[in-house]
Amino acid sequence: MAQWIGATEDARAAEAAVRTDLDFETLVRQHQRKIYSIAYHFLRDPGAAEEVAQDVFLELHNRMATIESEEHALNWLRRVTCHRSIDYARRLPKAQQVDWDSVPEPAQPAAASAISDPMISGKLQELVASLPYKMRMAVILRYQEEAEPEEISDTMGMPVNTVKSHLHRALVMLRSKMGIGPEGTGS
Amino acid sequence: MTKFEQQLKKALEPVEPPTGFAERVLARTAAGEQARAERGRSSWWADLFAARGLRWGLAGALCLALAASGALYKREQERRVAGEQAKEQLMLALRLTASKLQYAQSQVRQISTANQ
Repeated sequence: MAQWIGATEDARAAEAAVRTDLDFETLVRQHQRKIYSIAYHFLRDPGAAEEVAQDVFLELHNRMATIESEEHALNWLRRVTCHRSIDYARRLPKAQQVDWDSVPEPAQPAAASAISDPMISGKLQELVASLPYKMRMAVILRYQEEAEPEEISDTMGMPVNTVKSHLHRALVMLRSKMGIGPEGTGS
Repeated sequence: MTKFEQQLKKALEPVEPPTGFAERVLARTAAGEQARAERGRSSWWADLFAARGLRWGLAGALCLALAASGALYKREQERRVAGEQAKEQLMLALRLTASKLQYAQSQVRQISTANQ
């Protein structure tokens, strides 16, 4: 009897270990694109983005016991990626950071271009990467992750009104640099 | 959503991570687990100390060695103190002899002066 109970416990432990491993691998494969993209759009450096994203997943692996659901995992991944990306950018030498004033304005106003114009997309990516850290992260979460201000507030640990203000100011700054008016028309 | 926001959304579309990203993450976690397991595994000397009889034997030997070295130290201290005392006594004796010799010499000198 005792032997049978022991064998069952061993089987349960082995099953739990396998399940944890499978869950972690599934989480990595499911969310690698999102997590890498947040870091990539924030840092605009594929190597740095991979470093940050890998570290975030390793941290998740160490905390798998505390992860309650897939949704919890995604929120946790987003939050930690935001903080790690900002920390990484802060440690970069000034010369490696994109300066807002050094980004030239486009020759043609963006409003006149198609939505999927790769030139406009490239310019916007460059401008987003030159925004102040928290403003930049709020924009990435809003337009890459399609997160609502409340979710961004939760992820970044800042008041909703601050998030809204960051998003509004970022749009004004980006529009003015792209040479378009507040309604999306060319100025 | 304005046209500008749509352009922004398009620019910030998720990008594919480099090829083999997930595999590299999994390899790193596997390496980390292996390192942790190796750290957790006891070494041969830890196993040696884990044996209860040997542990008590080593503790006893250590106590004996400490007691023996303490006794040796005490004996050495006593010998040193005795040596110091003997040296002081010898110096005192030498000083007394010297003063007596000096006195005798002065007496001899006085007698010889009186005879002349």
